[in-house]
Amino acid sequence: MARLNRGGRLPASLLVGGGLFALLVAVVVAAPWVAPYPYDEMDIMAIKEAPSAAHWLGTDEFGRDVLSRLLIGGRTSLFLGAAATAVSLVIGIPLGLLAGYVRGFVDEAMMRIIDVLMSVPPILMGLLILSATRPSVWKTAIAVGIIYVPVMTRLVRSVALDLSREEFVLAAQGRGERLPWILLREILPNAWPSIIVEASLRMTFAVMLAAALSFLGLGVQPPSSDWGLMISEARPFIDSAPWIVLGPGLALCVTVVAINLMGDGLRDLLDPRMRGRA
Amino acid sequence: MGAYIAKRLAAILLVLLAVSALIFWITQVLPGNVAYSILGQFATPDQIAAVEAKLGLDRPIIVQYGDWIGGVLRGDFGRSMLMDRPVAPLVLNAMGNSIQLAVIAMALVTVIGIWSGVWSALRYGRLGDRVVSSLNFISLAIPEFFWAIVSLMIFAGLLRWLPATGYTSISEGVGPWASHLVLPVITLVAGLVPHVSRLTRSSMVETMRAQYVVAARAKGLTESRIVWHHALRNALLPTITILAIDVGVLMGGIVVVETVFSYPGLGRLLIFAVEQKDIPVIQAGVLVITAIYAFANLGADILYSLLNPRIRYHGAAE
Repeated sequence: MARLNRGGRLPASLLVGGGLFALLVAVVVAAPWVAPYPYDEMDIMAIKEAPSAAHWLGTDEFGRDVLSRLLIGGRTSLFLGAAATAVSLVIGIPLGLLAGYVRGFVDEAMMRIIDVLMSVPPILMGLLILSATRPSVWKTAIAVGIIYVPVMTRLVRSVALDLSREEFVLAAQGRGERLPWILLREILPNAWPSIIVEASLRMTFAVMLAAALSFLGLGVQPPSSDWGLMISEARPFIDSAPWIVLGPGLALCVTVVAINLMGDGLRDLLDPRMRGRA
Repeated sequence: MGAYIAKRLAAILLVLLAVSALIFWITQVLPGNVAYSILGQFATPDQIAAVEAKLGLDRPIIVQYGDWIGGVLRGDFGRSMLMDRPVAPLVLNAMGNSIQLAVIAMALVTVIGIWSGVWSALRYGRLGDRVVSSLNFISLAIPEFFWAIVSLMIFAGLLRWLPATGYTSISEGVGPWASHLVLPVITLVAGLVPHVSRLTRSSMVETMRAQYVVAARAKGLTESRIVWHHALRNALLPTITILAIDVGVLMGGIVVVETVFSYPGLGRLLIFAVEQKDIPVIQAGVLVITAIYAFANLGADILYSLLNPRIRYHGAAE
């Protein structure tokens, strides 16, 4: 861990991206208290109003405040990204550690299964899983998480494979430590830097994929809402009231920029070998 | 080389067989099954049993799968439940439309991605490089469906330059045909160019520092010959890999873009089938798209080995 704090300076991209992301999270978590209006309050006297002092981002086709809906929708979108990433980590880390350390038949079998799963493009996999069940927020989160399990497993496996030849692992083997101990106490702690970098990258993909699935009508269902669904619902009004669609769209872009910057910064900080790679 | 291709082809067919089993299992076994979705939520158990018997759904899953995959291998994907027509021509027709989109988009992604990557690598660290890098960074952060809607807003709504949605066949004139393709293609290209551009740039920057580039300069070759003939040939290797991956991303993008622009391709057919729970169409659509992706990967691998003389696959050094 010594090389982490060399000079004690954090990359600028980590500070900017991390700061922006923390701000976004804080705002959407506090949404019920900071939102100027209740997110489902309709005002038939203020339908499709352009942004004004009363409604900073305007109102939608039911006279609901776009900013307030944006904040509540952001809760769902960010939750989906974080929950899906968590799902892929929880399943992918143990599988990857096992495959990379044990190798042999277990590894071979798992990698072949992963080849199969990764040969279906993510949106189609989501479509397949979600078409088979009645969609909901948590099912969307799990589906997106499962879609990214193979990538996560592969990454953890390759790190574990490298680490399993290190001397401290050989020493643990020599001491007669058991398998779970070696995986969790020797390999995992040293694999974290790579896992964290990958997780931040995964989170941008997860936020975008979940929003795309909701946009296609496969993810979050009304009356719940996320940014993807908001954009989909605002489509009929893109000419008469463009602000309804621009709000959630730009919010999504800002979120992705924030997480991407944070990821770049984390990579520079934690994984110097990867620096400068695209 | 021939042996390598045959081996890869066999592997692809195995993977596709496994994918077909996965698709079949997910669509047939998970809750919300076929009979239920045909009859709706008020169906009685008797009605469900009757429909299942009629469709052969009461047989063991393995028998049903054998039936289905046997048909698929003979080019018979079953009948669409909703439209009561064979699935194969339906999918084939939609695929034709999607392939027009995909091929044009992929060609543009390749050309623009490689060209902008090389261009900014040659200006490494200077203004032009930074502009390209920033543009890439921004367009990476814009989801495809939002790109689609913003381009609709600007070019179809505000400027009224292009039709918003739909498709006309090229036999009705090149102009109308092309005008319907512009916005979907722009949307797809905008999302993919950054991948190619960024990777080409970083590998080109590395390559231009290599010994043989220095040697070529010492030989007095012109800079453009060094860049386009010597350096690019090697710098392109990682680019080919990302292009193959991007075919998969493109297939996902097509689903989104066709939905927004009401373009009658495979993606829109799939979304329609999912909404209507038309399971034979879902199965065929996902399988066909996965197959296209798999063969694109094979193509990329072959191209890779042709461009890279250092890699000789399994006794193919003749």
